[in-house]
Amino acid sequence: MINTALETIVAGVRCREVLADLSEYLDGTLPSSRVEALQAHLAGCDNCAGFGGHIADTLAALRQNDAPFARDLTTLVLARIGGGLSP
Amino acid sequence: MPDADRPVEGPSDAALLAASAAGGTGAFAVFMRRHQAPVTRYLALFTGTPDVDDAVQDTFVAAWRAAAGFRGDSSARGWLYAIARHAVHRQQRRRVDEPAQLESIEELAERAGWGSLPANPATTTEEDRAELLHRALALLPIEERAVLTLRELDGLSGEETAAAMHLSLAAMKSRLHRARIHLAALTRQLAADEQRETSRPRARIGGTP
Repeated sequence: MINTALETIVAGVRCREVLADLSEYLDGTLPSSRVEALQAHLAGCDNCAGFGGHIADTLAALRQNDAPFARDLTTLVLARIGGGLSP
Repeated sequence: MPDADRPVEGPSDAALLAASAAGGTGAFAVFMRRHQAPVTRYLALFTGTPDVDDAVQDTFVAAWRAAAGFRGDSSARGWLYAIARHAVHRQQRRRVDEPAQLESIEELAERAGWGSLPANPATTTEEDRAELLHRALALLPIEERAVLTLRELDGLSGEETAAAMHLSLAAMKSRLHRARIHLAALTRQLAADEQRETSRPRARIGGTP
């Protein structure tokens, strides 16, 4: 069941369209003509502005909390490739 | 092995792989030390298990064998990830963990809180949030987890991510978009589950009913 509020039009753009373009907008890869339309929509739409902020915030937290992985396996691999394998 | 002790800032990946292709195990050791941590992380997130030592070794052994084929026109990281993915896919070919029918972006967005986000989000500690995010990441379908790992955690460009995943740029963008919103939906669901768990009345036995 889709939320009919997604069909809401603000500044000539539907919320559904904003949702579709959100990733490219956040990445800065959306064409500039489209950016303008999106920004006009976001300025007047709490749902989309809040959701966009929520996604941006979630991604920022993911990038910051990158868990470290360690344990040097180089010696084990060198033993394997040194044992008769050739590139 | 004169290259083995050089700092990782030294020779380029292309130079190290060229030396490896000529039999230089020292150069390959430098290359491996440079890339082992991100490859390990990639495989751990990609497979959903931290126990990936064997897969990491297989990846680098395969990279050693394929070193002569590295053309240097893409990032070595992307090249390695493609090798890693290939190794994992060989192991997982029989496992089918994709849902039968994909939810639409709109459905995922609603689950992620579109239209119902509180004005003041609940405050959680950095550690709690990181834990939720990593649990959510592990629940994503494998291809969505992979694209998020490459783009968000490794910071590969869109083009590099697409190349590593053997996707067109448009297909990669579409998958990344779904993965991001899906991650937010799963994180929200896990947080809600946790909230329910902590606020549930404590079970009790004995006493007067």
